[in-house]
Amino acid sequence: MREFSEILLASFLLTDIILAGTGRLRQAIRLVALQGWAVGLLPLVMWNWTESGVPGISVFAVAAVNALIKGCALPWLLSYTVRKVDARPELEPLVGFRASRIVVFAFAVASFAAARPLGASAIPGAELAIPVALATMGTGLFLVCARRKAVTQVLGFIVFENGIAAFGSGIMMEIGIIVELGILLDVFVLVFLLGIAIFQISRTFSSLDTDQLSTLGDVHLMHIRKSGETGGRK
Amino acid sequence: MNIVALIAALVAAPLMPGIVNKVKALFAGRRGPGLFRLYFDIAKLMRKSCPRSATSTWIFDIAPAVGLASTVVAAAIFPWTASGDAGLFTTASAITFFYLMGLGRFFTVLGALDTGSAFEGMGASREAFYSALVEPVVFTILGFLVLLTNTTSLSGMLGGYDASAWSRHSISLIFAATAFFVALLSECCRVPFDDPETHLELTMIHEAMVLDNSGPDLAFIHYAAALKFELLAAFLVAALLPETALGPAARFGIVMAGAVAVAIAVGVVESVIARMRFLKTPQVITGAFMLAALSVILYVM
Repeated sequence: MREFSEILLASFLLTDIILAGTGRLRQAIRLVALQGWAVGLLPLVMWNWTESGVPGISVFAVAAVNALIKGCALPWLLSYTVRKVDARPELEPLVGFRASRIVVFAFAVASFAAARPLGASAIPGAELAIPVALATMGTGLFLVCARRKAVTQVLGFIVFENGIAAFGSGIMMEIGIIVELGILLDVFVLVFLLGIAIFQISRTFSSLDTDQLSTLGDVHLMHIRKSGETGGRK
Repeated sequence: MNIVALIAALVAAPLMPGIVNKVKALFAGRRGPGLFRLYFDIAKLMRKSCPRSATSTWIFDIAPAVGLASTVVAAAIFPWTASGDAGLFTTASAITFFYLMGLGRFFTVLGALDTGSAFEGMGASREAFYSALVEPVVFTILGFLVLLTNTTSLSGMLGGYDASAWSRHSISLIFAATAFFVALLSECCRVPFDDPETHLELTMIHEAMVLDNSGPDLAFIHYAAALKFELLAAFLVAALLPETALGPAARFGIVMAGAVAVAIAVGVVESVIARMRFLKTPQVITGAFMLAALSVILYVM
């Protein structure tokens, strides 16, 4: 199964880099969904089938829950929100796509360097898991900072969580499952709340640009801004 | 044995663009030009005269010949039949191989500039731009192959590892192969970097450079481009092929079949995606560079 886990972990790196360079909201959501499926499959391919035999029901359960929530439910929720609030299909980056890609690539290189002293992990064949997990977490945080739209910030958060999940299945297979389910629940609730928040932001301000929230003044000023922005950006 | 293989490869080279065009035609539901179209084109061009502008210098006269000669020499040092040094004219480093093609490109660019035509200057500028972008990709892949095989010689590098490397470094090999495929698309001026079918000067790269060439000169350029495509495709296949107990003929057969497969893949790529905006293409090459660098990193770790 070593090759499978390597291919799966490499697909994390690939989706990270492509995600950093993509300019389309739909495509970004699809990539995050793909990564969600990879997160779901990861515990199964990391399992040492030849020595440990068939894994317990909890491993299958965590794989199924992960794949369903991160691969189906959250992407569906996000695309539903995007449709509902009629968001523009382009991402609005604070850091350009090419620069983002280079930053994410630098994250990958740095996390490989950082994971080296950590040495081989408890599970053989999981040497890749730690650097890939670190790189994915870095990508998630970077996306939260470097994209303007609220939806993209949610995406970045999910990618960050994917990194944590990969870390979990990489180094703590046994106890990781309970922790992982707890985190997953948190993320689900959080994305739910963020979805509602995005909906409210767009209803009130006719834009999902979170930068505009930091320039909020009193109500009077806000009305002037709103009327100045007739047919404005959504 | 290698000389027979070399001659066979030289003869087969004009088939490659034919295969690409046939695949594209099949995708579009057309019958398309025949597989041997380029042979007829070259034969036709060889019978024509070759008018040259009075303002151009000797550089324009020799550029197509230098392009052809350097590509043929690159083909001659390529290990078609074996993964070792057996039966080669000479052993050369992989850098020689790629810079021979670079020499051909350099003279094509110079010849285009020599005409003084604005379009050709633009095509030359683009060609130089793309090659400058692709070079780091190719050399990172070469670095990976050097790490894998511990040699810098072309013949030792291609297939100089045993089959177990495929299970140990499968990801690195896949990444490096993908990156090289992108580099091949750019080097051979295929979609998404350049559309070989277009004849609008504003969008062309390779075609724009050779607007003033005619007759045998143009035949040389067409043939050299086809041979370069075949060489790069063969390099991709031979680099992925581990050391085997196969005979020279079988290995040559596999390499050529692989080159045909690469040509088919190029045809499929050209059918399913459109040419990219000029400013967008560097992103694709940057992506390819990252893949190549990741293959090195994954190998080292």
